[in-house]
This record gives sequence, structure tokens and C-alpha cells, in this order.
Amino acid sequence: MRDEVRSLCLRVTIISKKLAGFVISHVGLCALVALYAVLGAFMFRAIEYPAEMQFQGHIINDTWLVVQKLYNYISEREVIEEHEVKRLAHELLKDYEHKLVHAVNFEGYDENDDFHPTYQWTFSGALLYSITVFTTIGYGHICPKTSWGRGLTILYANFGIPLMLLCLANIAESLAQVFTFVYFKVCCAYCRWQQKRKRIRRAALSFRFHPNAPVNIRRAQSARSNQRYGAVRRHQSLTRRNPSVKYPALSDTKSVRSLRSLNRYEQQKFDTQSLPGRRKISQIRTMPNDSVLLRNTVRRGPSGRTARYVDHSASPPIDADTMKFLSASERKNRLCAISKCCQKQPTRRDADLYGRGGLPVRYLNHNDDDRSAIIEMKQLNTPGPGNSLGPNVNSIPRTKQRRGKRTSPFEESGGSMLSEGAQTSQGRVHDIERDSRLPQITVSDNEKEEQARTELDEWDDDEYGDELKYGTHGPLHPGYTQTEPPTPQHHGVPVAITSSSGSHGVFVPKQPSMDSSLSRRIRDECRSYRSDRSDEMSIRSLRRAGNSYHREKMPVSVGIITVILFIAGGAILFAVWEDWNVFDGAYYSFITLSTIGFGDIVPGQSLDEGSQEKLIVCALYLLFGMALIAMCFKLMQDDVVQKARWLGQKLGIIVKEESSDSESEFDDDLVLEEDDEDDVLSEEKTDQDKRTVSSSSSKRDEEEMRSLAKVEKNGNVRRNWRI
Amino acid sequence: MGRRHRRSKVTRVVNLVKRIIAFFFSHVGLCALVIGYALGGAIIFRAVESPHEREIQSIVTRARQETVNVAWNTTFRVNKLDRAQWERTVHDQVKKFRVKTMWAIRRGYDGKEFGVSAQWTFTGAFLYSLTVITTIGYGNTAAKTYFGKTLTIVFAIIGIPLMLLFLTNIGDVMAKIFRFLYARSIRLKYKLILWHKKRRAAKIRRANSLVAKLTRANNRSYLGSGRMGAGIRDDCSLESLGVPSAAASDVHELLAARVHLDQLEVKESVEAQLQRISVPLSLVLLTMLAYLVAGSILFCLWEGWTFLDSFYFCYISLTTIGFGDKFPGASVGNDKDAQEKLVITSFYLLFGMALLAMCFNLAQEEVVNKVAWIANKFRSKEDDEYDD
Repeated sequence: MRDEVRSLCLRVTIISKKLAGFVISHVGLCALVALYAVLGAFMFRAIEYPAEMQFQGHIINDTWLVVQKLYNYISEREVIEEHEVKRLAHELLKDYEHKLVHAVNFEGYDENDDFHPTYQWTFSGALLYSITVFTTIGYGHICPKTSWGRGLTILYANFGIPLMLLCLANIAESLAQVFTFVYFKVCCAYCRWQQKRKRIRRAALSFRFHPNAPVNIRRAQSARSNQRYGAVRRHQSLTRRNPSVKYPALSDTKSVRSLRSLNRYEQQKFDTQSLPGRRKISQIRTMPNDSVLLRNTVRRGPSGRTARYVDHSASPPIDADTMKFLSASERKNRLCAISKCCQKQPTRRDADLYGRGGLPVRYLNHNDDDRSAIIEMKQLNTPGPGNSLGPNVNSIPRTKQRRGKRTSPFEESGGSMLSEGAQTSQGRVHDIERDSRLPQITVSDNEKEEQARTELDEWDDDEYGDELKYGTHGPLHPGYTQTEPPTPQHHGVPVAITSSSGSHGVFVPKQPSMDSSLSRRIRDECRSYRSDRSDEMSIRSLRRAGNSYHREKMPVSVGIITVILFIAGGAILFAVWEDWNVFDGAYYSFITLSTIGFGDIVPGQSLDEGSQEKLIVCALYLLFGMALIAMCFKLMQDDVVQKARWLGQKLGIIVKEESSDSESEFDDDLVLEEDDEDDVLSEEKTDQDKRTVSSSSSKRDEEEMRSLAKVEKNGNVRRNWRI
Repeated sequence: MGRRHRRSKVTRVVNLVKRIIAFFFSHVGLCALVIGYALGGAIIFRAVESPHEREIQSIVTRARQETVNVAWNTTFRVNKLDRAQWERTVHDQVKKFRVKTMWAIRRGYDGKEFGVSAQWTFTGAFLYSLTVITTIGYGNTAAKTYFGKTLTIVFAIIGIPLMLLFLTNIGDVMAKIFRFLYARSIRLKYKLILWHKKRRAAKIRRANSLVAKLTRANNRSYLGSGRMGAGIRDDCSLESLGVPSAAASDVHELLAARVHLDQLEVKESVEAQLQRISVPLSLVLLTMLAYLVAGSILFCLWEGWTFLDSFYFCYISLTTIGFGDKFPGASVGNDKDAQEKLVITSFYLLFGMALLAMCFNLAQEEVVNKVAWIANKFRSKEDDEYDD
């Protein structure tokens, strides 16, 4: 009973907290602004409408007044002098003119008003008014005439303007996220598509040249090139694939946060995977003769993604011993890790495995992780395994990279196969480097990362689909793999397996059969792997942007074009609606969006039929436009600030202030807290910070990591896995 | 030789250009730049718009003339006793006139008489360009020709960032000055306190020295009287009188030390105050309010508006809302007065914007701090939620 009460209380507090949080969140803030506008509309309408009822239509009376006054003057006079009458007429008409001017400009007077006066302070008019107040546009075509209305306007603006600024800053952020997402996803689809095509073509070529390659022609090629590694690979898009290796320094820029988020992502996958490997295994089994063959077959597997698995397995061929080992361990759990570690396992897998179905997709990811994990293990557990472990290590990191690069892994793994001995050391170094690098990683754009990831996934599918075709050819040339079965790998693999399988029962259903250190390592590996991936991503984007420091940043031109398009859209819309010409529409849009708001041209004036809806659409256009402009400022800000600073520095050898001035200007532009950043890196950081999907998620990730560390200390593996 | 010479010349020119650009981005230069920009805009807009305006004005004037003539003719021709007919005729004419006037109003006519006054005088155009770049946009004066509109757009695109730059710059400077003044005032206050303490200390010291003198005099007289006395006496005197004198000097020293300490204390506190001086938010708001009130009183007296109306005008202007329904100078028939008012209005606006920027600058830190505090609170709450 008491518990129930307590839980109820708890729930209530949680709900209230959530409410408070919601109000501050994007949606809540928007709703608040909308509510504020509507409230203002009601308020002003209540105040101004009665007043307007009284004076609206006074022009008719004024017209009659002019005539009557003149007549009275004439009738009163005994002697009518022409110039006297004319002077009076002039005066009267002038006065009349002034009244007319005021009526037209500020009271919405229209020719049609003589017959049925239209009122400005309808609900939609009042809504538009309140919006023009707190956006500081201030058309002035609808304005309060009573002193009460004026006083309330002051109060209203006092609270409304800061609220609007807050909301705009908030909305701009999320809009910027959406916009960048859309931009990189949709707008860059073309370039991606082209890249893919190129890659495919290349792959085809390589296949032609190396028909014997069992796994993937590409891989074979890469293997060869691997030996010449740095030099050869550099050119072409291939470089893209192995960026971390080539540009190790760049890896620093990886973001911890993104890593974490990735990590989470991965984990989820991990959890959700169920018996994923079996299918593949079974398929592998179908081609019992050669591991390579198996791999290929795997590619053919049920889903395109299974191909990934193959990729992993594609790395060094496995010996039978290790395979057995693996098979046993595998059975117990979907702990793909093991399976992966022994890329060869698939070959070994028994019928049981075969029988089970699973979600191959997830599994693939898993494989990666596991593998990497195993590799790490080797490093850690067997600190001095020597060259024997080397190849594995080498291959694994590469495979990791593969994901990031989407396609490249094959090449790398192949390369490792060929040049195991020589490269083992290299690979190790890489790994180590990566690990050591991890902590230094700066935060990168989460959002983009994720985006990229999603892209990646899609890509992967496609690619693998493509590869499938090639892969099928592989089996024809089994000799290739056999010729170079790297013995050292056996050693490496077994170590890992032993650690995992040895500690736990063979048929343990739960995944985390590894001991804590192992899992830890896996974790680490995953992390590093992810970091690698992110690294690659960033590099790729880098390439795309063409500037090493403008990762994943919107070009300024895009922002400007968006605004121009928006203005043009408004122009056309209003031109069609209001019978303005397009130029007037554009002028109106510009004047509105820059918040100048002359109010000499305002929609809804020329027609009374349906002008109410027009006013509302106008208000919406206005609000959205403001948000869009704020967004564009946000997107362009860093770029512009940087450029301004650069310019300032160029000139600023003499004047120092200038750069800071311009900077502050842009800060001011965005109104809300913008910190001054001194160097590019920090700038990027904050920028990305702002753009990160949500601090909460990252926070959670951090917590995860922390808890992970703790768990590891305790040796509680299981929890580790579940988090 | 010659080449080097030339190169040095080139570098000198480059340096000069750089210096000029740099100057334009300094405080004074920026100020000049903005005003110059607005002036240039005024000239251009006036050149572009005033012919159009004159045309419109002349059309209205002609229409009015026509109406007057018709009215006179009806009076002349129609029997004036036939009121209904007269009125109908004149009313029709006035209606026609109204249609024409409204057409003109849509094109920017605002009741200014042809040849007497105009919207697009130099000052009017200056105010117009000012309202564009400050995004106030009253709209009582607006470009009506296509060329003028295009120019306005271009002008705004360049001018608004420039204005922002200028505002932040000038706001910075003004904030510095304001802070300095504030610090000065505080220092003055502490100086006053210090001076008071000093005075008191001096008084005490004087009293002290008086006491000391007295005791010494006493001593002396005592000694003098007892000069013949025995050596024992001397000892006695030394003991009995030396103690008080020593005590006096001690007291003296003590007092001096205390005064010194006090001074030090005050100084320290002053230093501390000056170092972490931040103008309180209330003072900033008060400044802004005072400016608003001053402006509204000014316009109140000038234009004969009610106080609320003029306050409304000032507020709407300085928040850059700019409805334009109330506008100084519109009611004045006299052109010269109107021009004067326009000038003063524009300077009021310019300075007001700068002041606003200053206030933002001053208040920013505090506000940001507070916002961060609130955000922190919320964040912690969210964390709690997560934990739950």
C-alpha cells in the first residue's frame, strides 16, 4: 500500500518534471510561443475591436462632412468670393486627405468599405498583429488605437520578444539538424551514387584482372597494393577507404560522443541479435571444401547483409582446430564475437547451427565487434604473442575500417593475408595507435555521425549486394585462399577462443560467456573500431567538403540559396494570391524576413474575401521564415565567423579588434549565448556540441561507459553486455 | 634599386589600404562608416524617389484643384438654394477625388503638399535609410519605385550587418565607459568613506597628541618644580611620569596603526569592488527606462502627444518594431520644423540603439549566468529522470 502511494508520488513528480522539461524543449517552446500569440490575439481583439467598431467607416461621414461644411460656408455668406470659397475648399480637402491617408495606412480603409466595412481586428488580424509585435516586424497596417491597447502592446512586447528569441534559437537548432540531415542525405545522394558507381566499376575491373581471387577480387588487388601500401593506395578513391591508416593524425578528430552513441547502437544490435550466425554458418557449410568458398556462399546468403559476415570471415583463413573450438563456443551463444574472431568458424559450423535461423543483419555487425574484440584480447592477454597474432590483428582493424569505408575492408583483409608477416607489426601498431588515440578524440557531430551511419547501412546493403555478384565467382578459384593460409593466425585465434570458451560452459545460452577482461577488451575494441569508423566518416566528409577543417558543415552558399528560395517561394505565393507582381512579392518577403516590416504592402489588404485565411498564412509564413533565417545563420555562422576572422587576421596584423568585432557581430546576430572560440578545433567542438542530437543521449552513453568501467572492475560481464 | 623602391611603395600602399580598412573597423571609423552609409543611402534614395513622389503629389494637387473648381462651378451655376443637388454634385466630385487620392496614397502619398514639403527630403531619406538598416521600418516613408525597392533590398543586405557591427562595437565602448563611470562613482563613495575615517583618525590623533603634550608639560613642570629634589625623586618621576608618557606614545602609535589599517581595509575593499565590478541589472534597466522616458517627454512636449503615446512611440521604435502609426513631424505643417524633428528623431534612434546594445552588453553576462543556472537546474532534473 505504502509502496503504491510512494510509487504514485514518484510518478507524479516525474510527470511534473517531464512537463517542466517539455516546456523548455523544442516542442514546448513552440507551443508556448503559439499560445502566447493566440492569447495576444484574443487580448488585443477584445480591446481594439469595440474601438474599431466605432470609427470604422468614418470616411463616408467625412466625405459628407466636407461637402456640408462647404455648403454651410457658402450659404452663410452674403457675398461669395471665389478665392475665399476655393481656399476653404482646399483646406477642407487637405484635411480630408490627411484623414484618408491615416485611414488607408493604419485603419485598413478600402474602397469597398463604404458598403460593408471590413474590420481589421478580427481574430486573424489580431493574431498577425501580435506576431508582428513579438517578431519586431511591426508592419503597422494594423495597430492599436486605444491607449489601453498601446500600453498592453508595450507589455506584450516586453515578454514576447525574449520568448520569441529563445524559441527561434531553439528551433533554429533543431531545424539546422534536420536541414543538414536532409542535405547530406538527399542532396548528396547524387555524389554518393556516383562514388558507388565508380567503385563498382573498379571492382569489376579488378575482378577481371584477378579472376582467381576466391573471396573478392578487390581484396586480392588490395592485398597486392597493400604491400606497397602507403604509396599505391593513396590515389583514387581507395584512399578514402583507408584513411585512418594514411592519415593517422586525423583520427584525433573523432568524437567521443559519437563513439559512444555508436557504441550504444552497436550494443542494441548486439542484444537483438538472435542466432544470427546460424544461417550463414549453414550456408558456409554448404561449401565445406574451402573456407573461402564458404565465405562466398555466405555472401549469397538470405539477406544482403549476410555479405558482411562474409567480409569478416574473408580475413585470414582459419584452421580446422580453431574452427572446432569456435563451433563449440558458438553454439552456446550467439556470442558472435567468437564466431567472428574465428572468421573461419563458419566453415566449421555443424548442422545444428545450420538449422537455426536468425537475423543475419545484426549478426554482421556483431561479427565485426566480436572480431575486433578478439583481436584486442590477443593484444592484451597475450602481450607478446609475436607475429603469429599479428596477421589477425592486422586484418581485424582493417575489417573494422571496412565498415566505415563501406567497401574497402576486403582489400585490406586481403592485403593482410598476403603480407601477414610484414604487416602484422604494422597492424598492431595501428591498433595500438588507435587505442591510444581514443581518449584524445574530440567530440564530433553526433547527428551527422548517425546520419552517416544510416547512410552507411544503406550503402552497405547496396554494396554488399554488388559484392554478392562478385562473390559468387569466388568459389571457382578455391586455390587462392589455400595457397596462403596464414598459420600464425591460428595461434592468435585460439588464444581468444580459449579465453572465451574456456571460462564458460559450452552450451550456455547467454551471450556473455567471456570473462570480464575479454569483454572489456571487446568493448574497447568496439570503441576504437567505432572511432575508426567515425574517423573515416569524418574524413570522407572532409573530402567531400574539400576543406580539412570544415567537416560535415553546410556550405554557406547552401544556406543563402535556401533563404533566397524561400523568398522566391513567398514572392510567387503572394503574387498569385494577391495579384501583386512577383517583384512586389519578393520585396514584401524580404522586408518581412529582415524584420524591417514597412507594412506598405501587406497581404490580405486588397481582397476581403478570404483575407482572413491569408492573414493566417501570412503569419505562418512569417514565423517559419524567421525560423529558417535563424537556422541559416546558425549553419553559416561558424563559416562566416571563421572567414571574418581570417579576413580580420589578414588585415588585422595592424588591427586586432576587427576580427573580434566581426565575430561578436555574428554572435549578436544569433542573439543568444554564443561563446567566442579561439581556435578552429574548439569552435568545431562547440558547434558540434550544439548540433549533437541530444545531450541526454550522450550523457547516458557516458554513464554507460562509466558503469562499464565499474562493471569491468567487478568482473561482472553480464551486466556489461546488457547495458 | 628602382624595383626595390617600387616594391616598398607598393607595400606602403598596401599598408595604407590596410590601415584605412582597419580604421573603418575601429570605433570611430565604424561610427563614421555607418553614418556615411546612411547619408549615402539618403542621397541615393532621395534621388531615386523624389521625382516619383513629386509626380504623385502633383497628381493629387491637380485632383484637388479640379474638385475645388467643380465645387465652385456648381456654386456658381446651380442655384445654391437647391441644397440637395449642390451637395450631390459636390459629393460625387469629392468621391472621385477620394478615389484618386487613395490611388496616390497606395503609391506613397502621405498628405504632404506639393512644393511645400515632401517625404523624400534629405532628412527624410536619411531617416528612411536609418530605419532600413536598423530594421525599424516605420513604413510611413517607403520606396515605391522598382528601382528604389531593389536598392532598398541591396541597401538592407549590406547595411543590416554593418549596423549590427556598429552596434556591438559602439555598445562595447559605451559599456566600457558606463562601467568605468560606475566604478568611478563607487570609488568616489569609498573615497568619501575613507576621507571620513581619515578625518576621524586625525581628530583622534590630535586629541592624542594634545593629551601627550599635556602630560609632557605636566611632566616638565613636575620636573622643573622638583629639580632640586633628590635623585630618588627623579627615579620616581621617571617611573611615575614615564609610564604615562610611554602609554601616550603607545596610544598614539596604536591609533596611527589603526587608522592605517582602516585605510588599508577600505582600499582593499575598493580594489575588490572595482575588480569584480559588474553593473547591476537593475541599473541597466533603469538606464534604458530613463532613456525611454526622456525621449517620451521630449516627444510629448514637441508633438503634443499624450505621454503614453510618446512612450509608445519610443518603445516601438527602440524595440525595432516600428509600426509607424505615430510619427514625429507628421503633424507639423511647417517644413523646417518637421525636418528638424526628423533629424533629432534619427539621432534619438541611433543613440537609443547604441544604448540598447550597451545594455545588452552589460546585462548579457548576468543574464547568461542566470540562464545557465536555470539550465543546470533543469539538466540535473533530467538526470534524475534518467536515473529513475
